[in-house]
Amino acid sequence: MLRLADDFLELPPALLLLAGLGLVLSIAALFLLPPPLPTLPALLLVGYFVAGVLYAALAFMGAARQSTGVTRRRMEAIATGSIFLGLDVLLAGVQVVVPGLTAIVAGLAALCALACGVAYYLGFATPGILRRAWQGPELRAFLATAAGLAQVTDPAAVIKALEHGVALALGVPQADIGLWDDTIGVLRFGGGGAARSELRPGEMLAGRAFAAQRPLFSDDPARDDPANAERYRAARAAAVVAAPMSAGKHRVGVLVAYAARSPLFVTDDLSLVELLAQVAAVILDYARTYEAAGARSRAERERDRLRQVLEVIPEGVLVVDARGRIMTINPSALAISGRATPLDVEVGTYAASGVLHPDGTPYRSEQMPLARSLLAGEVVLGEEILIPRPDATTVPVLFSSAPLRDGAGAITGGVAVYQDISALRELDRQKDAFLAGVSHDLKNPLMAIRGQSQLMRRRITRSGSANTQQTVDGLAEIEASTDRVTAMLNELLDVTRLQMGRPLDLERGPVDLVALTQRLAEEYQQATGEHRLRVETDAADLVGDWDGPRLRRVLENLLSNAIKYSPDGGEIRIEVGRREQEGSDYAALTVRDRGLGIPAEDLPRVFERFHRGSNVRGQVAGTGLGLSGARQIVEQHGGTIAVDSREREGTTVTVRLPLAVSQESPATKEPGEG
Amino acid sequence: MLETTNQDSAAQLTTSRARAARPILVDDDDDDVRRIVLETLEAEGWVVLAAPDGQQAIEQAVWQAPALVVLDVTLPVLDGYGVAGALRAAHGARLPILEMSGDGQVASKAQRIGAFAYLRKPFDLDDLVTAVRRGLGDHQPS
Repeated sequence: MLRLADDFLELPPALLLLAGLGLVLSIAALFLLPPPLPTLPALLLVGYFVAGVLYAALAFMGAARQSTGVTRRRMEAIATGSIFLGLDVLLAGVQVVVPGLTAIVAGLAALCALACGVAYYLGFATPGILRRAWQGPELRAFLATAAGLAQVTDPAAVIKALEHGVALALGVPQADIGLWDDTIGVLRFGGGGAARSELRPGEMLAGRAFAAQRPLFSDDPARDDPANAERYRAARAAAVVAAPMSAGKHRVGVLVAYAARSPLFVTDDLSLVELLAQVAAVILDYARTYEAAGARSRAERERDRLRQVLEVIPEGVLVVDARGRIMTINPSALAISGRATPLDVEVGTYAASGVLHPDGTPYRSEQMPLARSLLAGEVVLGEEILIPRPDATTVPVLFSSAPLRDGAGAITGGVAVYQDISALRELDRQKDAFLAGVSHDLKNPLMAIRGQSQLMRRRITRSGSANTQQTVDGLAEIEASTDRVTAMLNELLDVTRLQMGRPLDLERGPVDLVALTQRLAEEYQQATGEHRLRVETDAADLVGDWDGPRLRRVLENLLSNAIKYSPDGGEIRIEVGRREQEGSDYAALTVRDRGLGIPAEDLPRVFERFHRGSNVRGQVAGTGLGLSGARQIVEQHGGTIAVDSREREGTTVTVRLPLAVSQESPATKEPGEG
Repeated sequence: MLETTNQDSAAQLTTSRARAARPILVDDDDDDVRRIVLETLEAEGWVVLAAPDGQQAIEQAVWQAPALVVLDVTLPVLDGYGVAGALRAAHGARLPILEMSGDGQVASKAQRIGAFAYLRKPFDLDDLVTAVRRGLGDHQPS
């Protein structure tokens, strides 16, 4: 009995020796002493057996506490049986000492013997039905854990949880799962058990169970597998059970459980191990499939995102194969080239696309940036080219391209990214035009100054004396011309400041807006034949404390816009008058044309510097400087400017200027200027 | 608009002999420049017509075929190219045109317009007179 208990709990060797000695003495006493036994030896024998059996019972209870499931219940049954056995022996002792109680004691002894027999039967030869019932709670706990694993996507975490669940269900300290890697033919373990991190089928108990595809156990693996004895001992694996894991025909791996002590009942647990291995296999198989599916959908999402990026970026993107044929082209690329479908060209026929150098000379096929990337592996950064459109216009683009290479470095295609720089070129053109215009306009007053002085000199030379009145008039002309030059230079400075978004230094004084408007309308009327400029006003005059020259510039801008953007002529109506809002008077000026109008999507941008309506680009020359500058001047006067427009119906610009003298906010003045 | 010779230059015309039976047409939208060129050429004894834009230049030339045109290409209503084309169509391809301009492309504009010479503003009045003389020389026995 103690020997049996020793299988589960380490018993002190002295105790075993003592017990063995006691057994020998008992047998000797039973054989040597004729019955009935004298009282003392009989009591000694009873005491010896009771002590031994109770000790064994305690040992089994201790072992039961350390195990789970069927094993635990069976230990408990054996412990119970041992207690009854002890009681039975005790009762036998009582019979010896107190013979008078024989009948009652004999009955009790019989009952104890029966209980002991039943308990030992349940413990040592558990019936199947009971074994399954006892397996229930652990199995349910494991399955509950396993069900939760379906949501865990990390395979390593799934394996760890399964190992833990199996160890709990089996009541062993350690369980390992080895996954079958059929690409290199090994079972791979996470480590922690006796097995090496990789095992070939047939190696150690786990490999043998996998190779045989049936559960195996060993209650002394060091003896059964001497080659790996050290490993088993190091892992304190006194008993090992291994079961193959498979989901259907798919071999998933092997499940190995280690017990620190050789369990007596491991044959009974074998079916449980087998069941757990199958459940683990199904879960792992599912987790792997799920992970693969997840990886696929991640890849799809990534691809979708890239596709969307290509759809929306304003840059044109082209991908070509090794022969230079277009494999991918995004909507922007098609829009830039003004085509519905990509050109069917190869690297040798790229010139057919009609791409030009900025100076207008055509590219040869092999000179094209993409051709250089494909043929020479060149990375082309921001080359300016002109792309022809089917409508015979060209678009300036900044073109970059690079070769695509395979793992070995061979060129397998090319990618190009290009950007429409029409807006930039237009900006350049506007600045050039503006500068050219300014320098051209400056030449006239300079010509007048020079011409006037020469004229006066020629007259004096011719007549021999200076005509006083002519000289006075001439000098006045020269003075007026220098004023013109100054005014022009001031305007140039203003424009430069406005371009940089910096405030002007207003010089306020009394200005009659009605007179100014009428004067300007007359000037502009003289310069145009097709338009009719009509000024409507309900006031004889409208004098405010404004900066006259700057206000004039605002009006000039509005009038020239109205004329410029109604190329078919027509009436341009200018209303000017006094209005009142919230108790304060202001001057309202409205310029209404029936021209091209501004597309709704461009309306919010009309006050942006250099912005021009999408419907007039390339049709109507303009500086694009005006409205933003006009707004700045008006707002510096404390006023507002608003644009209302419908495409093909015309545009109305309304300027409101406060008539009461307003304090210019200090923030709009710059220190150290003016 | 028509600018005619004034009393002062009419007096000079008698003293320095009229050099041209046909007038010189000056076309510039800048009032000061136009006046100075006009006065300079009149002081030399030529009959001068002046116009502030292309449209009026052509209207002027309807009545009297000009002997020479002094033209700023940058003109309102009808630009210098249009003026040159119309005048040549009406008065012959050999009508001498003297181009004057303040911008950087004066030379190429002169070539495009078929001018026999060009003046870059601000030019010297002596150069103006010399150029006009040269332009009239081919057509004007003096």
